[in-house]
Amino acid sequence: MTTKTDIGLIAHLMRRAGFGASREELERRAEIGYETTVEEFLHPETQPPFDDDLLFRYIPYFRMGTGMPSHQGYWMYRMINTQRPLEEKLTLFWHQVFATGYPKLNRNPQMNKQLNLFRRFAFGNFRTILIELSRDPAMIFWLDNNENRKGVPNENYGRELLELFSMGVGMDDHFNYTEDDVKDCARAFTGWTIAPQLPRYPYGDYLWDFEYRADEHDDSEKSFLGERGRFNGEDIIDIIVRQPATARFLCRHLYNFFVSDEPQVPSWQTTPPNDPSAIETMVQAYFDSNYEIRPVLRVLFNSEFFKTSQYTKVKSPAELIASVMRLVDDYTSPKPNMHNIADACGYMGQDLFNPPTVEGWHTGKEWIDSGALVERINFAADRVGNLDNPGVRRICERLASSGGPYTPEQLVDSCAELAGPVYIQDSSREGLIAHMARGGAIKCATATELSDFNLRVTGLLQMIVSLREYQFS
Amino acid sequence: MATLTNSDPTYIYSQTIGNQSTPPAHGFSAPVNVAIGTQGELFVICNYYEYQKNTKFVVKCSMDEDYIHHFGSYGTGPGELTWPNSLAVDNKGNIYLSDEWLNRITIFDNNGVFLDYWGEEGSEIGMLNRPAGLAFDNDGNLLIADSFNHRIQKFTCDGKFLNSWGQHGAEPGEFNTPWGISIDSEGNTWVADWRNDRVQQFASDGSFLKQIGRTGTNTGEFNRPSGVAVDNEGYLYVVDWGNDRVQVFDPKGTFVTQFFGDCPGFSKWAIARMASDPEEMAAQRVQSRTLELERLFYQPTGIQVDSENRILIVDCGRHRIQIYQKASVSPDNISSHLGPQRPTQNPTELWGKL
Repeated sequence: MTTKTDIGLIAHLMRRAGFGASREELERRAEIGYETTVEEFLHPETQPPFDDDLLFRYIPYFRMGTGMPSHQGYWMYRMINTQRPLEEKLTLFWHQVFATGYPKLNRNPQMNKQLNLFRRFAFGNFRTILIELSRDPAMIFWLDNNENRKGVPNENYGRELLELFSMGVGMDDHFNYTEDDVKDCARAFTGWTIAPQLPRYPYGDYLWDFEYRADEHDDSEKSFLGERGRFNGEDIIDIIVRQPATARFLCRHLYNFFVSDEPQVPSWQTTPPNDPSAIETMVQAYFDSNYEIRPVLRVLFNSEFFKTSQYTKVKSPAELIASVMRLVDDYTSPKPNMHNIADACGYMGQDLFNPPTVEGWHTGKEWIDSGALVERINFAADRVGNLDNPGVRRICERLASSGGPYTPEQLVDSCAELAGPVYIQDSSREGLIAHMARGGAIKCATATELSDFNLRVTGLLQMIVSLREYQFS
Repeated sequence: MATLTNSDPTYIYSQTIGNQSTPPAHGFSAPVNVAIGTQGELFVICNYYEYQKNTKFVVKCSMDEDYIHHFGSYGTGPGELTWPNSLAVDNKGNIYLSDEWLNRITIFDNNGVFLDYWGEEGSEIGMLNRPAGLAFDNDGNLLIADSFNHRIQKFTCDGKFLNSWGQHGAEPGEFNTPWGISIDSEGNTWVADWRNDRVQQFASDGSFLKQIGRTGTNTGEFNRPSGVAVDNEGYLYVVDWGNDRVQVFDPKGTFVTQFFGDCPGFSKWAIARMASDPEEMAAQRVQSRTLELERLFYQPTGIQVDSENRILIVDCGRHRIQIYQKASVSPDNISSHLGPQRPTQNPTELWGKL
């Protein structure tokens, strides 16, 4: 029999490794078990690929549109509807780490191609991921590696590869690399560029392809992290993935994204991890598997430090929106104006494909300011307060199926359970109970009672998603 | 002009209409279907952005790429379009437009003036759920691919229900989200059975006659066929949406040839567009390693054949219509014989003529 504890733990996994789930899915997954669900998530190929035929039939611009809302809407739709939750969540993770921005590219199909790269390699070897990233035309253009040529190097990509994508500036109060390492890293990636492509007009966008130009590559000897040789880009990445700093940096990113909010990345040189032993456990899995991501995630999701981290992370805007939509069962099939949902993500501070800097978005408490909080509350309250949404109707019907009546305590606890479960502090719970008590007896036996009951349930759901507690995952 | 196929019959790439543009500029934005009017004029539906009101519209133009006007805009009100799918023209020249979100058929006169709409959302007989392909039969009745009800329904032109056939499934005579529909010269109905990766033929009373295709990428196989048309000799043209091609079958259903797209460069409107920023656009074209991609279909959707056996293929992802001419001569008698996918003109050279 499924226990409340099982549901709570599964819900935690679904929030962190995915984008939340309906009560019905939580109960189904609680039956098959936590570890089985983790393994399913780690092997997305066991689940159906995303079926976007219908979407492209009704909304052709999701595939080939050139405007940013096109692809923001498409991606948000995927987050809501994927049957491979961790694959999509990891795609968001890599977008956060390897932050690439549309405004400079102005080519959205290219951004979509980058996301497909992340989906394809998300669980694989970190060496492969970095090589593919270095060959990705969107990244090359974003960080000017198409300007990085023999004799006239552009260090932008080489610098960020070390600083933001793999090692980090430093750790334990020391630097992980020198300025000379940056320069020779950049020289190793000379000639890694983009093949010329047709212009957008008159017939629409064409995807860029990677091109290696030997005549633009600096083949001379380089010195990098204490090793010498006529390094090309692959050689540099071979050295990078062996570094303890790389393992620590990557695992700290994974911990920050999936487990608990860490300080912001720029402080990692001088600020130790919140849970050094958790990071060390993940680092060990990284080296034991020769730099594979999947084994690190297996350790993470099956660990006590993950299981006991419930409600310790502030939801990112994308997580909040996708989880609300999955709860209320809206946009779970193609429907017009998906871009409005994606726009809301931007209003809350996470404009997908448009990170504030190459460092990506600051996370944790920095997701919240007065404007963003109002957006978050209004978005969630509007959806859970709408009885036209199938997920909201199901909650009301489920509660009414008992025949009632409910005490205020029972209704508050039941709604909090079905809306998440959502952890509610005692003081908040008392406030909600007092509010519900003011409305008189809570009955749902007759049609008239049911109408009032539904209004009170949706009103209560709106208050629950407006609580401070609902902002935490 | 040169032949493109060594099949019998032979097909010749003829011309391209359109380029990526939104009103009032002359062009298309994700065109999804085309209909031929009573005077030979073309009506082209565009179904592009939902966040710009002016990118859902119908263009009226000529086969010679003369832009006449456009009408319609995004919305849910009478005469507005949300998910426009297909067009058909009645014998008075009025235009019937299906909308898969609004679940209705909207009627415009030949000048694009909104006249009326009909259709009720639902699954009961005579109701509609995601109406897609449209075609008038020889009696002037309108056949609709009622896609989410997985059936074909026949109505009078003012919306009175007459007949229906089909149900959800993969057996002969069943459908899975059908899209394009066409009537052949014998009055039989061809349906692009989209999610079953096949086309089916029915007699005028709806009885099943035959099917062609299965899932795949080889000849005679389909990946979500979206459009279907038949010429006056019974040759069948199927838009193979997911495989970015059009396949041709003879009246017995035997594969004849396939088109991948042959646009050699610029349409008339494209030339005007390029002239607006010649330095930038020309420079990029000159640098481009290849122009091959430009000629190919990308997400083709609708198709029509006119009375002169010109085959109009709606090349949605490239915002244009590519037109082929069915030739009456044997390929041996045509001196310039090019294989499929080879360019007939170099777009860069064409640019030099501006």
